Amino acid sequence: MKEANEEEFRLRRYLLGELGEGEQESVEERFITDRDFKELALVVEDELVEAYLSGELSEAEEASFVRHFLSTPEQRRRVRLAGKLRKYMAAGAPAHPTEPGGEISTPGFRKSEFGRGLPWRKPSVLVPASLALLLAAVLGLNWLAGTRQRGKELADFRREMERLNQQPASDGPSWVVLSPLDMRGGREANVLQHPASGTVVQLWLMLVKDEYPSYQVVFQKGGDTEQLSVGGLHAETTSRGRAIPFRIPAELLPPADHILKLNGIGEGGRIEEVDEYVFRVTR
Amino acid sequence: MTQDQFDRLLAWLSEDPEEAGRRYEDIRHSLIKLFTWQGCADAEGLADEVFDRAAARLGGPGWSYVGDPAHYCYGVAKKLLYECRRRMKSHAPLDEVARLTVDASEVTEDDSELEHECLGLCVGKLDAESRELIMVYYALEKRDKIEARKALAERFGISINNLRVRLYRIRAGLEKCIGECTEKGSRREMN
Repeated sequence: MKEANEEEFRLRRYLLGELGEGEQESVEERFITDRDFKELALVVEDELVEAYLSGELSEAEEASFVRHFLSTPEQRRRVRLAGKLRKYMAAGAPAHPTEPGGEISTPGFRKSEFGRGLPWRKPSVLVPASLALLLAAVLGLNWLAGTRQRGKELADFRREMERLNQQPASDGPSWVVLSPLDMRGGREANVLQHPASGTVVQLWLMLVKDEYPSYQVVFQKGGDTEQLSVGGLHAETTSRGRAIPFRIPAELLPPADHILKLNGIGEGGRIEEVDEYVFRVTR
Repeated sequence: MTQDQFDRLLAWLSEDPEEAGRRYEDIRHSLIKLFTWQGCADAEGLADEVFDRAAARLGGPGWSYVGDPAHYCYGVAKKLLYECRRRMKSHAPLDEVARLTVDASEVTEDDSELEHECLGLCVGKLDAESRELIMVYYALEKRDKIEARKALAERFGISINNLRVRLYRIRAGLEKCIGECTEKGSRREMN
């Protein structure tokens, strides 16, 4: 165990350019000839990059890292990408990513149900096969263009929500308090007036109990099947109790009923459902 | 390197063609990493140079080497690495701010946009367990890295060392996927 730690320490120093010539050559030769050592070196490199990005390196180590490790455009690109990945993960990856087979799973839709209950009718007019294919191709291209445009829009919204929710929260009159479904009982749904375009709606999601080190919010816009999620959120103390601050751009809130699902990320690494907040945006 | 020389090089790495191909890629990858870590420009070109030199000498007059080809390749690479290190040391120390600032020509807004899209695509391609592992790791890591690792290792029923290797492999896989995706994206935009 001690030997393994010493090896890792030596590798770290090698990557920071802190070893003498002889020791460097010893590390390099082992790296190219010993597969297990190579994997260990790559793990150490990966963790060094993460340590740099999370601000864990000492001042001296950081200086060595910048001077030595970031000396090539390739390494700088690598660290930049690693930083982007951290931010992307911290904000929460898409709630419904592609399944291993490449299909996107849509909640509530089961393939086996498709076609059931739909009457099968023969067309009364026969359409030439080539015309049908052409029509299908045009429709397919339009659908693809629409889907790609939609995909881009979602990506833009996701980025905006990530950016907004990285900012620190400060309670005030402009914040809207949302109660979870359980707490509302027989009272009316949370209601907001349609916000002006270009503004940001600031919400406090009240917690019945603050049980998790961090949370994820999944936003489902009324009338849409896609969901946008933001992770890495933390509860804060307000005058009304513990709550999660959450911001949404006005463009995502047309007059409709919208849903915010709150998930907790447990100590064991499990993502657990906590509560749901339904709110109505009126004209 | 001629085709003949390349064939002789592969045969030297292993009698089995598949194994020879694997060893070639492995040694090449190692050389690229070493050249990159030592701040050499064009690490891929230098790795190919190593193979060119080895292939040129292989089986020629005076050839008497018996041993691990990887060890021989390192011997050839050592001279080139030495040159890189010497050049790095002889450069005037750069202003710290200049070092920290990425050259504007290295990143454009289009690159950033494309990278972000590719990031989403590539994360989507991860199997469910890998995706969960890495998402939860980043969520927990903010609080306490050591506790995060322990919790994850327990959750997935693996040792902490295995966890570290898995996380590295996931990140390395994502880096490769994003690289390929952005290259495709850039070529599409140019066309």
